[in-house]
Amino acid sequence: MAAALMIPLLTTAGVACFWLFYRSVDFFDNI
Amino acid sequence: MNKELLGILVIFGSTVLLAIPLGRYLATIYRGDRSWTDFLVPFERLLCRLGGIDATKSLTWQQNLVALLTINLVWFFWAMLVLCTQGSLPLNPDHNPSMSPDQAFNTAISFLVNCNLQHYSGESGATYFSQVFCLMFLQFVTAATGMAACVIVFNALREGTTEKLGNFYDYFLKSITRVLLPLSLVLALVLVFQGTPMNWAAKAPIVTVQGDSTNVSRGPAAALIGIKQMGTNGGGFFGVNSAHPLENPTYLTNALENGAIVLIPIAMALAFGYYLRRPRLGWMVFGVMTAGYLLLQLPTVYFEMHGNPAIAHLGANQALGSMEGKEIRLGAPASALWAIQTTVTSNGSVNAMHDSLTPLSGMNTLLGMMTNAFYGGVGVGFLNFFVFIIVAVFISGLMVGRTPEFLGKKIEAREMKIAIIIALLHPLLILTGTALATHFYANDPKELAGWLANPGYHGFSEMLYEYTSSAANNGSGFEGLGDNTPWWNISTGIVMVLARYLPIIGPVAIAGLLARKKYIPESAGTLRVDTGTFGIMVFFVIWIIAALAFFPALALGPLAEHFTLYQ
Repeated sequence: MAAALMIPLLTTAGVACFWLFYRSVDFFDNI
Repeated sequence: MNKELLGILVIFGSTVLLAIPLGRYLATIYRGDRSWTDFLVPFERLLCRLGGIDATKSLTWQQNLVALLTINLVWFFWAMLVLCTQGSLPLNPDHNPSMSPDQAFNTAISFLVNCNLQHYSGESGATYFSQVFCLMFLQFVTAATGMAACVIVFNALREGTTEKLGNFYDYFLKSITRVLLPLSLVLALVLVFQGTPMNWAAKAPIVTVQGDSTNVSRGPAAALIGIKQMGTNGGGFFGVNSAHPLENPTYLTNALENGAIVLIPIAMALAFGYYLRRPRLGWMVFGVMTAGYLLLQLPTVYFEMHGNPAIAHLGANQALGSMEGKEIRLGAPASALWAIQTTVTSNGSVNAMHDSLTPLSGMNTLLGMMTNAFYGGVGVGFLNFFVFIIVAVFISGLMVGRTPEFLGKKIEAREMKIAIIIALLHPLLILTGTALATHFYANDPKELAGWLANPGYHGFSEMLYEYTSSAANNGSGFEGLGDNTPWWNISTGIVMVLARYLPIIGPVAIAGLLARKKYIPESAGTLRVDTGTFGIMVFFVIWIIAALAFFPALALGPLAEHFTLYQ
């Protein structure tokens, strides 16, 4: 796959993981 | 006594002796008491002012975690940017290219999470700009992140009821200015005087003694190696890490680097007791961690000193021990010491090739990462241990028929749910990754032939090790694995990031929930947690969880290999 596509795709994957972590703070607060 | 054994005893003994005053010092600076490093206060205030941060404001556990995650997210963008464009950036005298996107993703995550799994070789895969302004920078700030999160948990365990658990930025900054920078500087200076390069020069062409021409890599290595060891990072400047003669030139540097690996993790365990003004508690934690560590260390030294039967069968002299993959100038015991210390902490630097360890030694390195709580990484090692303490308190409470309490706070369903989620996340990530990789390889071994240098049991161990190292944020590898492929780069990247932040968020959440609760003063009926009995309980909780989760996988890999080799 072209680098031009892979870089934003993988950066978005990293950001998605961080979104999960932000959500997990709320999740653990209300578990 | 054998000189080599005496050498490793001196290394470990002196590290523990140094860790005691360091633990006291850590407790002092984090509590905000007067210390000899207070002259740095104006500098720290200036940094906070420049960053627009009020580090004196105490925050809730949720606010602290949001601060931690946000600054880490910014570093992720920075690392991706630098690694994807390094070929066009300055300080690149060897003209190394930019990383491919999947390798940049793996490396960015790897250094962001204090893992330092390296699917590149420093000599040809990273520029000096990347090494210093991206990788070394992350080695400082990620170690400080773990230490700051740990102090937030310490705060929650103090007597009384509170919503406020201190300020992440305050602890983060102090960890860098007053602990990591000075200690790393001292180690880096010793390395420079012992022969480690610290320059911006390109590779040097040399002619070897036997007449071959080659190029020797140089660069700002000493600075990076100092924090690599002090911050339990482990990412080497050169490809073979501290097995490289310029990264670890002498027995003295080997001893100092080895001591630096476990110094802060041990000091943090002791700091826990000093911080709460209950030193016995710190010693209990240290005692359990040390017992677990020795259980792995002693047999590893034994096996590595007694040679490899397969090599003995070829007629090679095994008097020096199992020397395949080891440096003759360091020897088998010093390599065995390093192998276990680097894996019980989340360091991952190596001075010998773990792929060449005898099978049970390899299993012990795996177990060090699977338990991930015998010293552990700077700060995060204690957080992992804290989860096991919560489980042990709960089980002890059930055994004696009382409501479980830890330091005057009741452990209830919410804390237990979080503790169990975090305790099971680790094996889930390791075993899922290994199962998927094994499945793909078994279905198409010809297409994926580049993955494994060794078929059979050892090949399985290589894949198991890669995911274990990623999930433990360790970063070492069984280097027979061909790991610079999109599958390994992306899958281990995802494992590393999940295995870093959830095990920080979970223990901080437990601590925050506990801190809010009514404080119950200790009485004759309270479960005492600073005793040997409770320490034994925690010890067995850790081992039982590890054994239940990992024994089948270990049986398929290193145990099967051991019984094949020693039949």
